[in-house]
Amino acid sequence: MQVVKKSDKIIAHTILIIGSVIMLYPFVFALLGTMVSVEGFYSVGFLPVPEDVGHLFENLARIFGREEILPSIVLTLARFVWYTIFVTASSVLAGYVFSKLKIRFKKFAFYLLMSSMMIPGVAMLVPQYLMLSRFPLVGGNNILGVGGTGFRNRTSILFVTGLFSAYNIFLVKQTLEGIGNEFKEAAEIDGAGFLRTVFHIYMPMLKPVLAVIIIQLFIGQWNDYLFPFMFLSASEAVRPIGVVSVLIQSDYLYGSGGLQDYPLVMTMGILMMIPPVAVYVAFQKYFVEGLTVGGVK
Amino acid sequence: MTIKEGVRQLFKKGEPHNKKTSKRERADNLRGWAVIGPLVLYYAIFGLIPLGIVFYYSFFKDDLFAGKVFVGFENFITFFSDEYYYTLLFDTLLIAVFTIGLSLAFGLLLAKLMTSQIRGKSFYRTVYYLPVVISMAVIAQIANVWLEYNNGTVNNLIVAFGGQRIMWKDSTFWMYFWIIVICVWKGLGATVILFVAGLSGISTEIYEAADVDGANKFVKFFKITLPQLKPMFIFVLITSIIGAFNVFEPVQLISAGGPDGSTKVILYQIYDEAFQNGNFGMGSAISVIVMVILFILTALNMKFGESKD
Repeated sequence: MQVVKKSDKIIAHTILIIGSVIMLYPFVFALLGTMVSVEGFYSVGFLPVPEDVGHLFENLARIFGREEILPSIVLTLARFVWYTIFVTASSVLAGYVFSKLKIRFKKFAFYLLMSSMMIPGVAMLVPQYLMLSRFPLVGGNNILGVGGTGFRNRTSILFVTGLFSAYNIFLVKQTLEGIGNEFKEAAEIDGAGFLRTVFHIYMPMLKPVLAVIIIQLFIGQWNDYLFPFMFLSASEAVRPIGVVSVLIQSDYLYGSGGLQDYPLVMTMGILMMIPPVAVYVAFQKYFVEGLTVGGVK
Repeated sequence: MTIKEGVRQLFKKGEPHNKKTSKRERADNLRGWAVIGPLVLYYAIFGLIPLGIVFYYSFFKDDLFAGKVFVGFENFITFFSDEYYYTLLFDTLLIAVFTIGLSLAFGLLLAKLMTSQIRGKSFYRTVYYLPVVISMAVIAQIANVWLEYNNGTVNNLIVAFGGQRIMWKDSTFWMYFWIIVICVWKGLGATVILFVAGLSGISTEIYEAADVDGANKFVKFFKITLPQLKPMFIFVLITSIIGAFNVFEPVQLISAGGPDGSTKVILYQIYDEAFQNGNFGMGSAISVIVMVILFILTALNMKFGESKD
């Protein structure tokens, strides 16, 4: 055991605490800022001094009074459920096939699917948009993808890409490789079918890794901004909360009503922060796991 | 391959055990491909076709009157010869270099402190990771409140200390400064956690052996910690570089690429070119360039990562 000097400990704590203050500062600032009057915010220094909790309730009432907010939350949750179903099902099934079944061209199929991780998402924005607007038999397009607008400016565009994740398939496969084949063999002897073996026998053993996947999906969906912002530009369309919150903030940042309403910007910010922060704090151990599984070989 | 297997099947025919396995293999094959087949098809449609499209479109120009015109390599030549375009790469790299450098340095320091024998490790880990889980766009909007000229918080503070208000958004330097600060703040927690994992993986025996040899702190850090941390270092570096090319929200929402396009990062230009101006040809060409750069960087990093493993 290494003996750590007391002075070293004090230095370590000092640095870590200074860092923690910097990390927490924007959160505390935004939270306190929700309880300040509009005029009061104009003279805020290091931290806003709360004047009245009533301001917070007022701001909340105004945010939830906007007609776009509830549909957008519903849409975001719908996307989360939809992606949870597809991503978990595809990860569990494909992970099982890749780790437990002997099939032809397995290696080829595996590396092919894994190659999707090598394609940077940002480089795919333009061609995906082009492809989705030329998608056959959608949005007035004929079978050749001509004539209409495809998925362009349709809310359904938010539900068609990224239904499987190579990384998550890899994650499940790795986990399954640590679990023996004996369960599969026992299940076969008992006459359990393929789906039963996968979903009733192996899936319960995958709970930790699935928790990682689902939590990441929730946070990803809740914060999703870039993709829906670019792909769904029509202002009349229902858009996810990640985009809507920013638009609401912009309204009050630049004073569309003639006034720069910063407390409202802060309230919207806090509302956006609560779900991911709560999920993170509640399921913390899974985050560390999810992050490090990919890093350590 | 199929002929070979067929022949083998013929010889196996007599043995009941093998017959059973081959039957099961066939069933596994069917089930396996019932799962993998749709995934491969989906990947072909949503991944590989767009990959083809991006290369194809990069040779075209969207003309307002003539429509789509084939221009060969013109888009690429324009990108690398026109200052407006090739400086985009420098802008992106400038943010990338500072963000990555600061994140790696602070991340390693903090991770080193967090793996020492002190209390409250899990508290620190929680706190440092918090910014990672929230939306970058929301943070950018809050930063807009801080950086406003007349009523912004930072200017309030400057005035309170007797200084002059600063037009943050009119200054290239300050826009870079704030974008980098936000990126480092937002991403540091992920780097810290990865380094903590990397450091915890180094066995204490190596350090003890070094202690016996009388090695000092710096020797231990440079001769043991850094080399042992190399695979994690490279993993963090790859993800950070890819992350740097994904910087969009702070640029779009805070600087809007300004002043005068000086902070236009590459992703912002893709957005501007294709989604704002409808020039999908140039947008595709820039996408191809991004893809090639990221591919080379990732491959280089992997090579360096492998050399000592």
